[in-house]
Amino acid sequence: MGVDLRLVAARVADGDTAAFRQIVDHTRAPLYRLAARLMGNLLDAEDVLQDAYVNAYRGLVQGQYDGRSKLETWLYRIVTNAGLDALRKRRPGAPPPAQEPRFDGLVQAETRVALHELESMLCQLVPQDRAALVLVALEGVNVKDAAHMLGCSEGAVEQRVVRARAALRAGQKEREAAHA
Amino acid sequence: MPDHQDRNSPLDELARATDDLRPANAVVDAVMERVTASAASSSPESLQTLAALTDELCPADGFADEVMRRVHAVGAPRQAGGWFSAEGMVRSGRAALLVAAAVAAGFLVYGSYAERLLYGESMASVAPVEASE
Repeated sequence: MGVDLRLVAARVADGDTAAFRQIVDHTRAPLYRLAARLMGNLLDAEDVLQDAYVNAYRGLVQGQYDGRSKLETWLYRIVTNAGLDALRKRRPGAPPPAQEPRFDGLVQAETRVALHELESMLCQLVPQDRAALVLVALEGVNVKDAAHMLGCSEGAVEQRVVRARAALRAGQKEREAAHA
Repeated sequence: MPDHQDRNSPLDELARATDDLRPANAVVDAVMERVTASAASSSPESLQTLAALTDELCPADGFADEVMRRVHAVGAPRQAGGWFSAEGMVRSGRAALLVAAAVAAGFLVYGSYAERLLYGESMASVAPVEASE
């Protein structure tokens, strides 16, 4: 039986800090996946997700979550914004962090390689286009929700996804020409 | 390995002769080049493959503990509300009551002292009048 996270969120808002653990336990897997795809490595994903959870807790206590949307959607938005902030701060062409992630015990080697490949594809995109592509093409979020999460119009999301796909195709052609 | 006793058949000789076959470095280089090219073939269609391969991402249990540690460290932020519900006012409420009680007691003491003083002076000024009458 599923837990109605809106009720749990209400308890947190009323001062039950321990109830926040339930929210973390129910959402950490999909949000970790989102953060990893946004950031392209697990260390940055851990940092982004922890910051996002702390921001979410503050937001709940301060009454910023109105309960109209699903809590998961609200959390997706917070993680996306935290990821965008981190991507904007990242220097272009910067190497991946040398430090090892701390909480990646359940991640298989195959998944790490896939994540590395994903990063090599997406690093050429600007943060907003990258976030739109990750949400729509990888996470399967519909355009309306993606627009809500990115704080822009649905048309802007579609435009960003098209631009991102075009950039990936152009990048692929360049690489193929280089290998020919 | 052949499972019969006679290990000098032509087949065994050929097997022994090809036992030390190793690829030349050029072959290894060619394989690595193919692997690299394959990894670099980042067509948008391969996004779906990468999405599927990263679907199982999940942090270890210790992650939730770390989040809760940070949440407890943050503590409950002050809720938005009127000035009367502000944290500082609640915390200093007891001290404010004590100060108010002390001020009220001071006023009472001073009032009774002033009353006695005034009564004494008025009695002192009435006494000569009564005496002259």
